[in-house]
Amino acid sequence: MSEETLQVFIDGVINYFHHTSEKEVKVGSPYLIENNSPAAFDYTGIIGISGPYRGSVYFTAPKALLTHLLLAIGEKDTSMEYIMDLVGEVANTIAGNARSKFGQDFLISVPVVVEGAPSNIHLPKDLRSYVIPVYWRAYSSAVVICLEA
Amino acid sequence: MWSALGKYKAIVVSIALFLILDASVLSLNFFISFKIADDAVGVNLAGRQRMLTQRTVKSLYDLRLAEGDTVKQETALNELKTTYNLFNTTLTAFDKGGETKNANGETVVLKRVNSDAGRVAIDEAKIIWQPYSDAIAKVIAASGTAAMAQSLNSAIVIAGDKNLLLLKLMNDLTVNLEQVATHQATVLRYIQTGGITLAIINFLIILFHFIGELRQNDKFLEDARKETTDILDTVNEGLFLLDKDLVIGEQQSSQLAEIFGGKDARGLKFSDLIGDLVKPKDLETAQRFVNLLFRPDVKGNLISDLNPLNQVEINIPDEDGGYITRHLSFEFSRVSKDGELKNVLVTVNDITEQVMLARELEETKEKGEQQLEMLTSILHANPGVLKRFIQNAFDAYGRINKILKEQSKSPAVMQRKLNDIFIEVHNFKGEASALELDNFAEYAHVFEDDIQALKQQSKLAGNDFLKLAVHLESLIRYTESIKELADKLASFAFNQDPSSSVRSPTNHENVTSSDWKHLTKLCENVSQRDKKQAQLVLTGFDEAKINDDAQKLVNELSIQFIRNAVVHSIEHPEFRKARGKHETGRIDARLSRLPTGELELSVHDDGCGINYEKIRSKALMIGKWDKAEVEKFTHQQLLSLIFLPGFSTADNQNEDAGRGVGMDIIKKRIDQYQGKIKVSSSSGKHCQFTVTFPADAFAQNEIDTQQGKVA
Repeated sequence: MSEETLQVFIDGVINYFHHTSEKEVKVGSPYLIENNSPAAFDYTGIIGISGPYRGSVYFTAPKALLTHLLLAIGEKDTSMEYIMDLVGEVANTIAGNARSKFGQDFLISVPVVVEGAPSNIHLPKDLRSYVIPVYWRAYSSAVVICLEA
Repeated sequence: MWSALGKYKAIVVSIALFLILDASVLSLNFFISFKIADDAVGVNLAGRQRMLTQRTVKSLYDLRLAEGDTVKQETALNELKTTYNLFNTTLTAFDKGGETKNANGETVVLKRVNSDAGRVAIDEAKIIWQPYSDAIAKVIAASGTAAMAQSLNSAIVIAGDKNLLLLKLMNDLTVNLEQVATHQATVLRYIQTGGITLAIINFLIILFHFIGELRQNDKFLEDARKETTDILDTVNEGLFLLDKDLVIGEQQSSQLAEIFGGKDARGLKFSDLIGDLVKPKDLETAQRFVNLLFRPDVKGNLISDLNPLNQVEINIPDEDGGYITRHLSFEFSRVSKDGELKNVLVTVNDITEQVMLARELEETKEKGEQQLEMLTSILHANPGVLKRFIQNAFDAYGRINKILKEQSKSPAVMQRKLNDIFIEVHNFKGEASALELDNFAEYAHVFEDDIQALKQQSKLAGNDFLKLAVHLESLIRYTESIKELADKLASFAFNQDPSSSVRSPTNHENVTSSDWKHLTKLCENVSQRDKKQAQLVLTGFDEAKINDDAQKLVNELSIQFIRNAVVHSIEHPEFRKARGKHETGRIDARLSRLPTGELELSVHDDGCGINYEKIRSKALMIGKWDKAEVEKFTHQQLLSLIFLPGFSTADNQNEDAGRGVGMDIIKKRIDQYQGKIKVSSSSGKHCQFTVTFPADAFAQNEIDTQQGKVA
């Protein structure tokens, strides 16, 4: 998978944060993980990809980041329901960005939000994923990309 | 028309019979009812005849009593006339049939009485009435008191004689007419009862016969429907009908829902079924294609090649956010009725397995070709050495990933990360080129180029490391393929000939002599690339009993020392010749276990030795130290510079030198195992690097040999 393809998903997350009141977001140094031990924080929003590349891309973040992010976008209700919606929205922004960049050849699913790590169903076991840490304020989150050609 | 009724003929006949029967009963009913009505008039008038006999007698006596009273006489005579005429007319009407007046003075028609008893009564009454009637007629016709009295007397005599008999006869007639009427009523009841009975029988026939038949038909239809349902439930294809508006029909095979992820297609537009799953262009073409099928002037077999959904990939979203990819084949067939195109039957076949199989075959073929290429690239390498190389490679990848994983925003740390990754890649590349694994070396070289480019960047961000992660992933992937191939080769060699020398050694086995041949090859290759001549003499490598960790390190260090010796120390042949040396330089690598248990590796060459002035001028170029300071550097200090990261004295950057990485790796690795390094050099004569490791160095430093794991 090319660097450019990965960059599209990373840009999706950055785009989301750019729409909040606290735009300052930093991307950490990407690394690899084995899919049999997926990396995840408290909540994870997953989108499925099909077409020239197949697999999943997910955004995972701790509860504290998401609570703070809700407040940053002017939402006072920080209940679990809202947090899950927010994770879904970030994943949706990633999907939207990917759709606009890749065009019709790529099929991108509606996000699914789970607590913790995605199940094996989402990640082919014998593959590796790219983990791209995303830092916002004092918090860490990550975009994890697992695609096969 | 009749034939069009088909199986409904019998039921139509039954219903027609029922109606005819009803109509007949109704007609008879009317007929008899009218007859009964006539009879009732007859009975009534017959009864009146009884009364008239008595009134006639009374009028006769009233006439007698009114003698002398003209008014009364007139009244009585009128009454007599009326009574006489009415009785006479009615009797005639009963006898011959004809008109008479009823109680209201209206004309009614009486039919001739035909019953036997009635006839007897009438005939007898006629005989009696004749003289009586004549006598009364005379009374009515009499003129003058005397004539009146005489005719009246004779009439009263006859009346007295015949009145009771006439009354009886009229009574008999009335009774008889009543009996006839009663009989008619009874007949009517019988007819009605018969008619109703027949109607009920007809109804029962319809009920039992036809309901049975209908039930049988229903059962037949139900069986047929069940058969259709069974077929639709069982077929492996998705079947449905499309109408002219491209709307899906109500009946479809169960497999259809299965193919389309549980979607209920009934009544949906064709575009709603597949719109989200295929490309918009394919959908548009498919709709145009189906519309063409509905045109009778278009030949179906001529346009079948235009079917855009002949083989199409669809991706159905699943509940977990992923996609189920299916390969489907849509076939469209026309359905005509009475020569008119009514529907298009769509058959959807799930050809995923076939497509996947074909793809797998294609991939296998491609993989086979790739593996052949890979095989060519690794065939020359000794299986044991290759195995060790692969293990080392995975270890290096693990370390690179660990460095990538380490997060920091500090520019200094980022630079250090780049350096550390560079060292790992460079080291890996060295080993790859030593083993002439050119593909690995090329991969690593590109990797290095990108790291170098990043190093030039003034500001580094986490995102800049993305391309390094991509390189790492590609290398891991490639190495995995090579490992797969190498494992196959090793197992093949092992199965074929367990005693063969190409057998892959286990981790704890000592390597055979052939495992160090790559160093000789490395020496030859580097010399060739540098247009030099050098010969490597290995001593003690085969004899020293060392474990895997030590082997790995000795290998790494030897590669670096030998390469450095050729590149930096051994002179070009003409230069050596001019100096009175043999054109071919000599490098002596010796591995020995000292009596103290220490492991010693020394690499000696008869080249020009360390060029301190070159180091000094390079130090000046770097600009890290000022000129005066550099000029004061002793040999010892200058020597220490070659162990600094990024410091190289090579004039050109190439595969073997110039990256400024090598000696710093050596230093790092030696430190890792608590080793010591000693350098001795005599300008123009020789150079020697000697490394000594404590006896227990390798026992304590267990390297993580988790193969292939990057996290």
